Parts: sequence; structure tokens; C-alpha cells
Amino acid sequence: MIALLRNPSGLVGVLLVAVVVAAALTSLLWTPHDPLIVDPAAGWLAPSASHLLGTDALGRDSFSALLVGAQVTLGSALLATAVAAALGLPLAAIIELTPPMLSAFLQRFVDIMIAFPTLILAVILVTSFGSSTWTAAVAVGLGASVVVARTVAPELRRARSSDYALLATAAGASSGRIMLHHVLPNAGSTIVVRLTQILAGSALAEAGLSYLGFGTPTPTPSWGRTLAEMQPQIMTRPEVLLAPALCIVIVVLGFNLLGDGLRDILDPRTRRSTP
Amino acid sequence: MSVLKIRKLSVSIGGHTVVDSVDLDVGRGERVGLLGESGSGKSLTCMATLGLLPATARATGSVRLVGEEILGSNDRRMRALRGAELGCVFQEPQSALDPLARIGDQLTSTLRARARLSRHRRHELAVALAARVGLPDPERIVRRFPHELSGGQRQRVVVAMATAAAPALVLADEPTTALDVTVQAHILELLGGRVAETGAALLLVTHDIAVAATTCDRLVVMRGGRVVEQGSTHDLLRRPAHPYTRALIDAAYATTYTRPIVLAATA
Amino acid sequence: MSTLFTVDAVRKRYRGAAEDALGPVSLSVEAGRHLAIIGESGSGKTTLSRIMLGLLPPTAGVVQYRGTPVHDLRGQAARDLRRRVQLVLQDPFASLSPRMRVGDIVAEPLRILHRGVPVRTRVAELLAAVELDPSFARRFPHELSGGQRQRVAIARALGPRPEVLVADEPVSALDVSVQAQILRLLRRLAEHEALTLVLVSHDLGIVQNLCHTSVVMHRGRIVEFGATTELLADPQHPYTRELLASVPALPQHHETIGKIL
Repeated sequence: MIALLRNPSGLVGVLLVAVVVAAALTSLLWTPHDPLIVDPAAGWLAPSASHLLGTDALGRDSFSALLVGAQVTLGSALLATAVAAALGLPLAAIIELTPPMLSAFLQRFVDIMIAFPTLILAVILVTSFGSSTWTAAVAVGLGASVVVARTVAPELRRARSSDYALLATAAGASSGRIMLHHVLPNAGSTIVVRLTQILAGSALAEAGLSYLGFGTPTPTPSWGRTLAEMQPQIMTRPEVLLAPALCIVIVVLGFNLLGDGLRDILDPRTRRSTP
Repeated sequence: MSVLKIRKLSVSIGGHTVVDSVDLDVGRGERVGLLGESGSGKSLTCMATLGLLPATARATGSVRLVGEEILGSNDRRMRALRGAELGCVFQEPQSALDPLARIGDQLTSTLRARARLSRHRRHELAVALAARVGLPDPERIVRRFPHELSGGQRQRVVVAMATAAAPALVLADEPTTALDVTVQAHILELLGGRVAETGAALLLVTHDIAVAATTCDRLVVMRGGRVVEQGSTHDLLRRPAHPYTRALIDAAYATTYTRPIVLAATA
Repeated sequence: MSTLFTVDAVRKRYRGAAEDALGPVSLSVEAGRHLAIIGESGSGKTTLSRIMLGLLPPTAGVVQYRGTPVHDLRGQAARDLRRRVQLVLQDPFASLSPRMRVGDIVAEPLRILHRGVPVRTRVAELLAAVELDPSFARRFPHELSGGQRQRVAIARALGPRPEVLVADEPVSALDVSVQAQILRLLRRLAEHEALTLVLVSHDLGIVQNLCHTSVVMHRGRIVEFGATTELLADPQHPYTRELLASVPALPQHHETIGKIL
């Protein structure tokens, strides 16, 4: 962890993600206003001491909405990534461990799935199961799982065909042991970095789906939907769109930089010293 | 007059001195072996001579090629010198050749800088060069691409390119390290032959004492960025003065194949 | 003298290849002898060694170790072969997992093959045997020099007290002065542990210094076989002659001749 904070991109990544996590945690306990209270009389208020970022068309406090939106964003990003990892990693291992014919078939299947747009998958799921944050997240996770499988499988292959894996085989290690002691640790940094990138991608996808109306349903605040609701103001008060847009940028950039930092420090060859 | 005259050459990268006050001369037509193990600074000395030091490296001192100062000279001038006065052979013939250019075009690329030739004339020259470096079926091979050639054939192409313009100096950095022993023997013979034909001097950078000993008149031994000893191949191998040279030669004898005549006498 | 390895008419053709990469090849390895498998790239020498180790299935033919076929071994029999035959590879940068500490790398075969052995003391003992300080156990491979890494690879291979050490180009990736040290170490250990050595190499200098008998491989076949001194002094096959003539040799060196032999 200290190594991560010493790494420039790691440090910035940790700080940005920490801001989002802090916002989400704060909103669980306290928000300046209830973001769900509608007061048409107070619609489109300009920022003030009471409403830090003003209000939306229905008079809901924008700042409170953004704080609660952090929960939605983080929650759905984590769920989507968990789904992607839970499906993608075993799929990568299966592609790598099965005989060539089956492996080739699975790879083509993965290629076809990658070509299938996540957005459409999400729309199909949402129209069949009803619009919810979690349905959208699972859809995003499904879409990302094939990307995980596609990028992790070659890493596994590289580690498995390495000299040290050969030596482990020659020492009588089972393929399970080789997977656990040699392949996963050596493919590990790629996996971790890939998963943080998917966290970033999922956060962005959640915002995108909510913006289009396929994600988090009303009235739960979500950054994507907040952005959509603010849109009528784009010609008159463009600055009100800035806050939700900036939130999305912070979380996506945060996770990506965190991934870069992790990549640097997870490799013992680039670590400075050992204890 | 020296073809190559290096005086007090020091190269540092990131504050570390990797070449330390090196003096080195290569006379006209002379064959010099620059010997050293990994980290000896031999490759960076070679890079400085080529004007190809990495951007992060800081070099001081003087490197004169046929009287002209190279250190700090601009890229355009260096490009003109490479090819015309300086031929290069590197370890990996695969990466020294352009994968998308036909062998014939590459063979004459060092020539074209000098004279504007007709396409037909270039083809003739390419075929002649291919024949001279012993490439099989020259007429056809000049139309091929690098990946269609074996490693040894590719290195023949590189040697042809390096010597085509009859440069004053051919710089060969581990030219046979990536090749099989039987191929290595042919390439060393070819390199020696081409250098002799064109009157070029040779600076052979290698870790392999036996390779240097069979090819060079004089050896320069480097260690930790410094020249520890130099002398004629014969004297240096028989009477090394510096303890490091002695250890290196002993190690070489302990690991290098010695002719059966020796075995028969002592075994 | 007992025969350890018997290779009988082994052939190998890789998937999708038009020609055999190896064979048919037959040879035997006697206990206590040092055998060199000499060849250049593409000669099939590495393929042969992998098949002998049971790491690669042959297309045809049988490899036996002490009379037991090495392929399709299961359970205790497979573990027994792994214990008796160990392997050292050419590139110590690639053969040590970058994410494991030296202690764990050396201990791995012990943990797999000799459960219950006090690993820590044995690792220290093994590191000492290859002339490394026990403190190396805590380091990562990237903190070591090439020679030190190859010592670690050798220590690891010696852990299960093998009968045979198969060394695939064990010094080719190292500097000359380090090569000499590792050769000396290999020779000393082979003697001390009464090891049978199978050396896979293109380097006649190494072979000459380490091995009693040699086979010369060319295009997947064994073209010559015999005592190393005789084979080098009086090569019969044209390829062996060409190979010998190709090696850049050093002039006679009066001082050192005595030391080598």
C-alpha cells in the first residue's frame, strides 16, 4: 500500500477513488438534503449556501444527488467487475487448459461475444427483467467477462509455457499446483490491472446506460441520469452539467490510474527493494 | 593514420559512468577485437563510434573517424558517414534488415547514397554483391524478402551491405552470437575476406575470445567501462599482463574447445 | 554398471509438421557416466531430452528408466521418476519464477517430492553446496547475477537428491568467466553426489570438459556416438568433422593445459 502511494499514478488514483468512496460512505449517513424530496417551487435554483450545486427541475438538491450517486456508481462497478471476474477468469483457465480443438472453439465463441455490443445486451436484459441498477451492472459484467477471458488467457499461456513452469513439471508438480504457484502469480498483475480497468469501464457504462434510461431507474440518483436530467439546461446554464460529468471523469480516471500504479508495483522487478 | 581514434571517451547514463576514459585506435586495414563480458562497456563504446548512443547518455572526449570528429556531430552527417565510411554488422540480422524491402534493394541501399544509378544498374550491382558474399542463386535471391532467408544468409546480406561502399571501417558487434557454430565459421570467414578485399579496417566487438583470436590482429580488453589491456592477439593470449585478462583467458581455455592434437598429447 | 535410460527407436513429429523433428533415435545412459548430446539448433537435441524426461510424449518408440517406461506414469511411480531425474535449463533469467523468493524456488521440488523434510535447513544446505550464502533464500531472482541464478537453479535440481541431472545448455547464457565457475561447480557436484549427467549442448568446449561419452545429432538423427576424446580426436561422420572444423579455437596455451585436464 505504501509502495502504491509512492507511485505517482498510484497516488493520484488512490486519492480520486478515495474521494468517490468517501462521498458514497458519507451519503449513507448524511446528505445536506434528502435527494428524493420534490419541491417544484424550488426548481432550477442557482448554487447557494443551502444548495451547494443548486437544484434540478423538480427542486431536488443536486449535491445530495451526486453524493448518493457515488453509491450507485461504486456498487454497480463492483458488481459488474465481480461478474466479469467470476465468469471471465474460469473461462480463461478453461480456454488455456482444454485440448486444442475445444480451446479454439471457445476462443471463437469469446471473439463473437466480444463483437456483440454490451449496450445491446444491457438493453435486452433490462427490457426482459426490468430496469434496475443491478440488471444493468450484470449486463455490463457479462460483456466484460469475455474481454477478461480474451486478455487473461494469453497471459496464462505465457506463464504456463515458461521455463519455470517446465521445471515445476519436471519436479513433479501437478497442473493445479503450477496454476496456483506459478501461473496465477505471474499472470496476476495483468489480471489485477485488467480488473481495475474494468472497474473504470463499468462505472462509465453504468453512467451511459442510466443516461439513456436503461440503468438506474428513477428516483434513485445516478450520475448518468443526473446528467440526462440536467441536459435541458445545456444552452442556458451549461455549468450545471459540469458537476455530474466531473464526477464520472473522477471515478473513471481514478480507477485507471490505480490500475497503472498497481501494474508498476506488483512486478517485483520494478519494485525498489525487498524487506 | 588511424581510421578510428578514440580519446578519453567517457559515457554516463543516469549518473553512472559506463565507459570511463577509453582510448582506442584502429589503423587502416587493421583488425581489432574489442573484448569484454556483459557490463564491460564494449557495446556502448561501439554505439558511440556509430553516433547511436541512447538519448539519455552523456558522452565526453573525442571519437574521430578518418579524422572527422563524430561525438556531437549531427544526425545527417552521421547518416552520410555510416555506409560511406562506416559499415555496421549487428548481432541480429533479422532486425538489421527491413522486413518489407527486397534483398536487392537493401544490398544497394548503402550505395545509393553515393550515386544515382538506374534501376537496371542497381539490380546488376545487387546481383554482383549477392554473388560476392556467397549467396546461392543471386539472380533470384535479390528478389526475395528477409524472412525467406536463413539466419546465416541474412547475415551475409548484412555483411554485403556493410562492405558495399568500401568503407574505411567495418564495425561488427557480436556478428555471429545468434548463429550456429557451423554458420558462424562461414560468416567470420566472409567478414574477414570482405574486409581484406575492400581494404577496410575491422572493429569486432565480442565476448568470445576464440572468435576474436581467429579474426583479429590486435585485441583490446575492457572491463567495467575501462580498457584494462591491449596488445597483439599473439602476445595477449600468451602473456597477459593484467590479472583480469589472465583470468578471462584461463576461463576461456577452460570452456573453449581445444584441438584434438592437444588432447592426444596430454590425455 | 547399471543402465539408467534406455531410448528405443524414439520418433517425434510435432503437430502440423511435415517431417519428423526427431528420430528414430536409440541410446542408453549408464549410471555414473556423463553423456553429452551435441547438436546445433534444429538438431532435435532438446526434443530428445524432453522426451527422456517424460515431459513430451514421443510419436513412436519407448523410453525406459531403470526398466520402467517413463511415459504414462502415474502417482508414486511418476513422483519417483521426478525425484530421480532433475533438470537445469539454459536461461536462468527465464527458468526462475520472477515472483518467488530463492528459498521457495529451491524448496519447491522438496515440498512436492519429500513431504516432511525440514525444508529450511535443507535449503540452506543446498545453497551452501552451490557456494551461495543462506541469506540468498530471501532474495528475488532479479536481484541476482546470471551466475548466481544458475547456481540457484542447480541447487534446486539437487534438492531431491537425484540420480541423473539433465542440463540443457547450462552455461551458454553466461559470461565466460562465470561459465568456467559453473562448469567447475557442476563437475565437483557430479562427483560428490555420484550424479549421472546428461548434458545437452552445442558447445564442444563444455562437452570436452564435462563428458565421458557423446552423441552428435544432426537433423533429428544421431550421426555419431562414442567416447568424447576419441570422437573429438577422430570424427567419422562428415557433419562431426564440419562441426569440429567450425569451432573457433584458441592457440595452444601451455600454462593452462595442465589445469584443465
